[in-house]
Amino acid sequence: MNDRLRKLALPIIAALLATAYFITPIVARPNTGPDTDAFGELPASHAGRYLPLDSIARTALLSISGRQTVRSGGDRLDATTWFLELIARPDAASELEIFRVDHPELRATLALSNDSQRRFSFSQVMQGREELQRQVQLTQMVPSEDRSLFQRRVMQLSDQVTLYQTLGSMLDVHPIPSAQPGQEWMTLSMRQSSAPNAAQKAIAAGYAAAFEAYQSHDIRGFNRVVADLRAAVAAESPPIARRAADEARFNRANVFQRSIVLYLTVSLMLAVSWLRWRPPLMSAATAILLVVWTAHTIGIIARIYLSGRPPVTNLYSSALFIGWGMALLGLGVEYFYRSGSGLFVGAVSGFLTLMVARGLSSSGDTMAVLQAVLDTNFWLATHVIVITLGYAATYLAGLLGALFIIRGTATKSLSPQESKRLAQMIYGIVCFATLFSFVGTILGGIWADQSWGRFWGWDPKENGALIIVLWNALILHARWGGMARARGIAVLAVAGNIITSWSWFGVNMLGRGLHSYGFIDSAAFWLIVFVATQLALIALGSWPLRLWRSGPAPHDLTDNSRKVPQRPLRAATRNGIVSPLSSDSSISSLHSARYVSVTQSEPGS
Amino acid sequence: MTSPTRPTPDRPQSAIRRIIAPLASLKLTVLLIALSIILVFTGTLAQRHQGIWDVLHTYFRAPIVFIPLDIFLSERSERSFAVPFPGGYTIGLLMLLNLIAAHALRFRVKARGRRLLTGATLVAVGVLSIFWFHSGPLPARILSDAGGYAGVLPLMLVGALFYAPLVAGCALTFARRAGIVLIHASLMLLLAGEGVTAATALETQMPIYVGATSNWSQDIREVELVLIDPSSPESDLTIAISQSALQRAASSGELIANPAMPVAILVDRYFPNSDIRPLSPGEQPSATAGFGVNVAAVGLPRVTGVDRNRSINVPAAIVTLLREGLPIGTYLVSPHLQLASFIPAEQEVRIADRPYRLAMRFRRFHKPYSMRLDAFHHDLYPATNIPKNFSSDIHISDPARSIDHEVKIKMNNPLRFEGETFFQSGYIPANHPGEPDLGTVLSVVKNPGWTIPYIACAAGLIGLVYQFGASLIRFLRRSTP
Repeated sequence: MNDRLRKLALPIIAALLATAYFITPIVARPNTGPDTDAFGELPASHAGRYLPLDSIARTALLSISGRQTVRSGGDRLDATTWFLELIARPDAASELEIFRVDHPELRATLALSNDSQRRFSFSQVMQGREELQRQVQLTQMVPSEDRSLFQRRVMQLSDQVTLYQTLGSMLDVHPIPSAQPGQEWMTLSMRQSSAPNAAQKAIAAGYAAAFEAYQSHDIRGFNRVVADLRAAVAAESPPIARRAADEARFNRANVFQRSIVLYLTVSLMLAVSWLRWRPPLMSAATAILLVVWTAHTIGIIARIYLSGRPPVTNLYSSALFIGWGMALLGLGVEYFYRSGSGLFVGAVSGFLTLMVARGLSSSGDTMAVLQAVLDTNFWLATHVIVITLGYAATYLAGLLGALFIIRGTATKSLSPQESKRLAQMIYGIVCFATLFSFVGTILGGIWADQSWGRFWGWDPKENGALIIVLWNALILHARWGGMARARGIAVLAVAGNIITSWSWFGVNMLGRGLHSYGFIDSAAFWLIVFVATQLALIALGSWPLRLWRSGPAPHDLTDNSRKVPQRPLRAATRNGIVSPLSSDSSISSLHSARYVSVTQSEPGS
Repeated sequence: MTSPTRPTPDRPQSAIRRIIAPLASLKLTVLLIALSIILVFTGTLAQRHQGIWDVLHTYFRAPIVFIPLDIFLSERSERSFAVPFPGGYTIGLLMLLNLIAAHALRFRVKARGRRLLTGATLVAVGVLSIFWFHSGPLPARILSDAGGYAGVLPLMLVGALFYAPLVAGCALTFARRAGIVLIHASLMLLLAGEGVTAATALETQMPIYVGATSNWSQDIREVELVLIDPSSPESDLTIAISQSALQRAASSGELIANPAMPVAILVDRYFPNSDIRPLSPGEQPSATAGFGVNVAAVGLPRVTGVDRNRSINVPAAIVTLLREGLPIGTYLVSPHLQLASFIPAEQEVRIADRPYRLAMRFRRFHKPYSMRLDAFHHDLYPATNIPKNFSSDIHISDPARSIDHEVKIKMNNPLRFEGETFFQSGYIPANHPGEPDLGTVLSVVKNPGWTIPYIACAAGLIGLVYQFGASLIRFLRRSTP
């Protein structure tokens, strides 16, 4: 009993620590200073949806600076505080260094040249205003697809300046509820209505008072006004106010950012566990991974509740969901094989995909409204989910393949049994990937038939999905035909990573099909880097087996087919062909030639 | 593939077997899958330089394709090598043969005697019931009764009843291989379905102004030159000359003549894609009459598949009308010349003192029914210009078939009528911002094979679940101690 408790203590402590890490930002609240969190929870209508001011501020700040906070002297301002500064103390705000200008030529052109500095204040950027305007005019003469990187950066900076100015004047933020449900909300100027009612006037006055109190550092006054404002807005439209407050709380919890940290921690713990302290590290890592995966799940559910949409609606949310699916599959693999490999690939994939999501989040509101043709929860909940799980499974197989190659070439840990088991895991995951990508692609065809009248249009995104199905089918047939065994499957699965990335990101960079829903410049760079690493892994995996540190696994030797025992051979004959997911890989390594001759001799009883 | 040293049992078909054995090999399967991946990939890349319709016909619906290597470059190059590669038809056909050969040779029927008889009967009954189910009105009725997507689950449950005999028959006949047999059958159906679509499908668009009635749709990938004789009070007589006839006449310099035509037509120039611009000062117009005396046509490169604005080729031509060998006049014609969006501008032509009208317009298909647009809705997300939904209130009438009623066509919610499907694909914007839209643009698709992918999808899904489900259960049994 005591022994059992001692064994359980470590994972329980690890799980509690991880849980605490997720909960702190929700419960911890500063009790001095203005209650900006409360202000950030106020709802507004903006870009087609109702959202808290905190989300508007965060999205704008991310688009301008690539970060969710602003450094001001030694302090860090969160997005809502920055937004308040921008409106109530515009002069101080214009000195905050938030405009990210990466392109050295653009920095030189705008006389921002300071070698180490990457972020500049609004007033610094405005000193080069005339030059910026001139560059924008020059760029506008070039068709958007022909623009150079410099020209795209000019347009981006100009858009960011516009965004800053629009937000600073709250021109497109509508925080005043409509008098009647279904009508549009109003901006603070209330130009939309000739006769605002008393409640609307009170809310407009409340905002003015809040800004004034903030400007004059009247903390108590600000907190009181904001509390009154919240009550007044909530009285007008309770569900919108509640949901906006929930969204602001969700923003503050920053679940996915914290998941990145813990997924990375788990990956490192497991990497160390292969060298030392294996049992305690494995059990603690398992506990933390379960907690972080649960948090990841809750985060996705929260987004479903907040947006009223199925989990995947754009590139950002597809990255969240692919990571979720991969971590789940990794946990599933671990449940059956208990070797740590499933945990490791689950954690690494959670880390990598959330990093991708983080990169994508700076391109705008991640819960933005959808284009009319995508506005169908039915297909988003079926086709998109299934195809995304297909991506997740294909990537997971590829990650296991990479693990196989790295362990085999760089370490001696890939014993024959381990090699066989890893190959089986890859094979099982490829089966899943085939199922999901095939069904998902066909569901996509049916959606296309329902929406555009053609089942298959050979559109780039459709072709991308088709290539994934074909690639998985190729892996399966290569295995059934004895053309690929453990090492072959691993190498082919790694190539699946390139193919999935092509479908996920590559086709969006080709131009714009009906399907392509997002494009980011830097994504192209990272895609190339990723593909290069995968090609390197494939090259490494294709090295002669005698150069592998783990050496050749016995069942990977070419003369293996002679060693096939009689019993499984007969089993194979009886069953017609080798069964997928077969645990005895020696059966599957039969040559198809041998197989054909075996069936021929079967008596026609 | 069969080992020559091994004595094969004396069966009459063994010679045939030896011939088809290579065709049935898994190596060929893997090779064909690899080739199809390359074809699909290059066919995607090619869409940066070529229109999607062009790519469709040169890559996927072709026996052989010459892949220009410049598709891998960011710019289109003038001198680029082209590599011959099997096209979609070749690969598709070989895949079909490979599948059929594999099933004939390797996928032996497991059942014998009564079991085989029952299995085969069930398969036959299943195939018939599936086709009866899909050709009948039941699926559409279930969907419409439940109100769209809510009907998908009931549809699947009802559909399962009709698929059950096939699945049971396969399970009896092929035992554990039933799943694979179903998956491969679905692949064969998908390939066949794509073939049927390639041969028979027709996609056109039907623009209708609010309050107006239309009885035609047009194919915007093709133009026709029309000469309209309005002399009869009941109906106009339209003589249409196809795009291919115009192109042939332009390259050969031959006259287009026909006893039914009051004039012969000489195509002086033909531009596959064009723009119209005002004449520069001092420039001689190529036309002698009509709109062309003030403007000139310029040729443009053909549009590509991934064009950001998804534009289409708009041809133009310079034609001379001749009566009894004497020129009446030279005209510039193009769909660019229009009174408003979708209303071609027709040019007055006097032939033998009778008025005719001349125009180049997108190819029209006339319908036995007519559709009136009562209202068009363009819903926006609040406080933005982001469209949320488009929908058209249409009144259909077909006096010959006593049809006269209202329908609503929305995004993701098409109308299926008289073997055609009508989708909300666009709208005719107002001339000035802020005004209501002028009309709707429906996409009209006629595809007799449209149900085939649905059947293939159902069969493939059942097969995959059967196959991987059975394997998973076996795996779980083994791994639980």
